Amino acid sequence: MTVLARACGGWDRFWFAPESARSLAAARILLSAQALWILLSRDIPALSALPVEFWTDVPMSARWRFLIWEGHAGLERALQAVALAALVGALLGVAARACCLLAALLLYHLAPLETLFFTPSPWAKGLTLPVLGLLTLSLSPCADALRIGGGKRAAAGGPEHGWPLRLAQLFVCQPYLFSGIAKLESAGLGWASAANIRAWLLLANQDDQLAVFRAPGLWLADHPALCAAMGAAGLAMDLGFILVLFSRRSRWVLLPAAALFHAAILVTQNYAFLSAPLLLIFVDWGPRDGARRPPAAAPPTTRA
Amino acid sequence: MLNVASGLGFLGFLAVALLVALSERGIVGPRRRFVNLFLVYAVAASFAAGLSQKDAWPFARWPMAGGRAATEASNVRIVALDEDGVERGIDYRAWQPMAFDELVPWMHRTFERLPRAAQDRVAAHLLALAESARAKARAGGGAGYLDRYLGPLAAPEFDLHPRAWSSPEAVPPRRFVSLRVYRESWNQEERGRDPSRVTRTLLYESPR
Repeated sequence: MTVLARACGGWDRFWFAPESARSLAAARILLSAQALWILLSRDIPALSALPVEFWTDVPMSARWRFLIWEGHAGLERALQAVALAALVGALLGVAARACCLLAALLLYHLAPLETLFFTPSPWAKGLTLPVLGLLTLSLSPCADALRIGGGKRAAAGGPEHGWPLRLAQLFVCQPYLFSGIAKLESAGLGWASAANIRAWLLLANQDDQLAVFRAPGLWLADHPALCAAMGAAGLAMDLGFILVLFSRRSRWVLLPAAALFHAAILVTQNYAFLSAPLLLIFVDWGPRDGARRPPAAAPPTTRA
Repeated sequence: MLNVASGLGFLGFLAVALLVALSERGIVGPRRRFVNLFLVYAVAASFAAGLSQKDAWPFARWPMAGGRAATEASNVRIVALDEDGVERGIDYRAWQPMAFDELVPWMHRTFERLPRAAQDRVAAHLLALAESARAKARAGGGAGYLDRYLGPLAAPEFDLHPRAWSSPEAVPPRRFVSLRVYRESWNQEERGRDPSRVTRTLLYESPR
């Protein structure tokens, strides 16, 4: 067997391993609920009505990229209403694929509007993963289960439920992996040094405008050994979390560890990772007793 | 240039998604080939952004807490002057719908470079927001409005901020009539020993 054939086989086994219809449908619900949570917690259309001075530094290429021009709050409000309706449709599984597609496209437009006067990348604002995930799910049978009017007996699932779920899961892993890469590229392994972690903790806790929880971070900053342990654990979590894609057993350790990781960052550095609820996408939502399970393994010749 | 490339990158993602959709209807085929193309594209585009650390949102580079934290820090602080000329802090929710996490860095980067007349217009807008929020919070209506649908379950900002106006009693009683913008800078170790070791520079004061 050639290297290429082995690589193709590995690619197929990874992407086209069967998944239950329920797990894919759960991903649909999680992504749409996440986007609804963010949209209902913001007033993105109102930002279109900011005075023109705020748009001074916004390049024309960024406006064309997202089709955003200031001064159209009414239009943006109408688009957001359509996005909300589409997200509800996706959540309930009503015309789910069309709703996923529509929601993803509208979120691609709306999400940057929140930050465009300062930056074209709203990566920290909680809508990045829904854009990518919902677009992916729009290509899949994501409403074969857990939908309004679908009855109690869901489809079993299979490879067609596997690849979209796996891709959405990969998108959820990327914030960890890329954040680890960012740390290594910019500071090397020294990022995890006690001195650097102390500096980050001071930065996140000294300014009274930026900190709700101050005591835990400032206490930690005065303990070099704990700072070094925190740095090593953080880097290990960033770079190691992607194992959840390849090992279901690792999820028993890494998912609670990630939840703890976010809680620790929240109370020591005051950063709220808004996509944390999407960790639930790694839970096996597969069939319960009485429902059909997908085949145990992908057929070996799934390539057309 | 990055905007153009990123926009084209997302259009490419949509194009391969369209091919997958067409393959499902048998218009192009075989389907598995186009699913593989879509997967390759998604992996390549997202990893290109992550590995190069060049953001192509929604293919983001996720630079959370990357780099070495500098020992010298600075930030912008916006305060109000009330009718008595007393400086008052402003709750972060007063700027809604803008997020503090975008407004303050924008003030840091862009505001100072604006012509004075443009600064005055921005300040007038911010003062109106702050005064409106003050009056609402003082009357017991709470600062800000983004919790209007979800209440305490509303999503926070990425950076947590203290709620300075947590009760009507904590809200300044007198009307805001002007704004001041300061740049604050400090050395982290010095501030750690003495929290008052912050250098304040007045960048701007709005006309009353």
